[in-house]
Amino acid sequence: MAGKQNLKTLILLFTALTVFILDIFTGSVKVPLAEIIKILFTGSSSSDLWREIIINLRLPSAFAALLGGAALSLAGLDMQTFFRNPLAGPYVLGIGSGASLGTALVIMTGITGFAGRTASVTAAVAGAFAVTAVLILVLKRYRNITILLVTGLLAGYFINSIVTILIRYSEHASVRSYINWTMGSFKNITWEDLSFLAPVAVSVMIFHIFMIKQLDLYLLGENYASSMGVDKNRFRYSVLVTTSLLTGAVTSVCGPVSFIGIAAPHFCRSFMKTSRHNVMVPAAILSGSIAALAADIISSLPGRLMAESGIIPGSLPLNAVTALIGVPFVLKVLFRETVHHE
Amino acid sequence: MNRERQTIRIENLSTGYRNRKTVMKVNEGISLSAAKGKLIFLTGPNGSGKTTLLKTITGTLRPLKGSIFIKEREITSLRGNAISKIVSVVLTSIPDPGYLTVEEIVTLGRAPYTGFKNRLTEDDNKIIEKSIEMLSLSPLGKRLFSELSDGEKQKTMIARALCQNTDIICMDEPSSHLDFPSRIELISFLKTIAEKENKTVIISSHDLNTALNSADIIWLIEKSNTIHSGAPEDLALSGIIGKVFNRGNFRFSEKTGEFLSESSFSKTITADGPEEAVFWTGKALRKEGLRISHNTEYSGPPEEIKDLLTVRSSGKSYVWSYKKRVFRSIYEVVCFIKQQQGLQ
Repeated sequence: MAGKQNLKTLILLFTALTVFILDIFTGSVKVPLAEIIKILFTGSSSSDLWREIIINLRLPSAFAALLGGAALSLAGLDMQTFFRNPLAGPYVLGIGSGASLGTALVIMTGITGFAGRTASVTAAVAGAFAVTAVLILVLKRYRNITILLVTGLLAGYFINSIVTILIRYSEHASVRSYINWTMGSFKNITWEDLSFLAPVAVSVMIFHIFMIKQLDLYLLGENYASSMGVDKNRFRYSVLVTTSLLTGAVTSVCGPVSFIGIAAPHFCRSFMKTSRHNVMVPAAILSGSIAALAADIISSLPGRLMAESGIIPGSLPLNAVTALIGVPFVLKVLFRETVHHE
Repeated sequence: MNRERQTIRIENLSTGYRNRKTVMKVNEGISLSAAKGKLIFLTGPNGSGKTTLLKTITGTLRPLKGSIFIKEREITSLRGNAISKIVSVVLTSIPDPGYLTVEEIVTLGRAPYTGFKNRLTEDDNKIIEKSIEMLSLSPLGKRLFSELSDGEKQKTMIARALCQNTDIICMDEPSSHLDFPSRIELISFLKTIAEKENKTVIISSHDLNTALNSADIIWLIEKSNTIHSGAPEDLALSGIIGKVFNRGNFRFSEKTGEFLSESSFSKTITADGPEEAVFWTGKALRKEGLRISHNTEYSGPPEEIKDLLTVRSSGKSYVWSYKKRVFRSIYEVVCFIKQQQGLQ
């Protein structure tokens, strides 16, 4: 059993590395293979444009997908275990909307550059934190998953309407940049953006070493977990902090990237055939990365085809890709996990 | 009671819920104690505070007043996961943990003793194996929990509680999802565990029948400030069970240990025949307000008593005769007598 799971984790690792490399090698501008390898290993190229594309566009974009996908999937795993609900995910329960509101406020004010980035990440994390805190309070008080889901859904509507009002009274340029942001993208990510995302994502992943045991106990529900020695207040706080840091950081940098957070942990569970978190945490991280990188590659495919045929290059909106693949997958999981009635 | 044998002692305890503004008291002035190796049923009418008391004992709720000592340690003074090494819990609702095997769930019971890496020692493994064996789950060890029957699932949760190696195991209606045979089997397991492992098992249940048949001690909540403690037979004989549970015409019969409707019997029918057949016929007639008396004293030809109900048997098939008519089932007998009653 354990040997098989190790093998499967290795398969995921190998796949993640493969799609990571593929992501660097594909894009809307054709760069010769030999040149890419030369640039990656020596940092120099016969064309400054190619060098610029690889070093400052494709590499940061691939890293953003690698980290962003992993972070969203891990946040989804935490939430699905904590709320004991297969539909929990960073953007299902309104947490992503909280992050969006934070980001929207910053984009609309027009602060840019380093200060803008800092403000935007902080605001997104704060927004995510606020919504998660409300959800945990609701769960503590009513212990009812339907009420929780409805609260998350309504919180999302509520926050989105605030954003709509903001848009109505904002300048054209900032609205446009906000709308672009809501489509989600791993493109146009700078190394500076990564310097915000990477430390947050990596440190939360490392912190999970201390959460694995409690997450396992939470599979039996909060009452059993606390009867077996989990300090439930402290653990609630851990989940609150990890999910809002992960969701907030990714959302502010890459926009709200839907469905990876809910679908990737499900894929892992049925692929690894276990719910144990010593297996699930690394598997969720890797499969989140794979999903995000694959979505990034797919979203840039039409751009590439069009570029070759001489039409203006452009990529598909990332959120459209993740939703088109994610929705059928989530439905499949939902149908399979629900006892079917006539 | 000798203090060394005691595992739990409750002194002047008030239970209830408290939030910022209000205090809702459920029970007060509770003083109880229990010895090792005993199976205790905590019972009482609906809403009498069974679950609240159980939650207070397991440390989920803080007492409003008074103290609970487990092995002479006050539980509210315990910090961190200390209480999870003294009290384990089995709940009514069966969890849905996804892909976990029976063995993996039982292993979770060692959590209070392992570090954050959850590494198991030789001793841990022995305890896990023993707990699985005690509940005869060995053949199911590698199976997924989600594929088991409800009875097997609940047994897994109990094996997990055993693994926690606590002096006290508290269970809230652990058998309410189970069919009758699984319930009996489960309770007899618990009795063995209490005796063999020298643990105190406290079961909250409104299943008075099972409590009467299986408990060593019943903690019976009469009203908010009165809880009786004693062997089920003592509580029955002294009339306390009747006092707590009697409702209108339904009264606890100290003679049979059953609840019977004591509407005045309109008629007594004398019956003769095999004991088991007369017993079940009597049970059916009682529902119609008729008393049955077993004709054991009279030894002459049965036909001489007016309106004698006779039962003859060959193997497992019985034939009833009454008022010169013959019946093949109790149902027919009852229908006929009811009709006769109506005519009068």
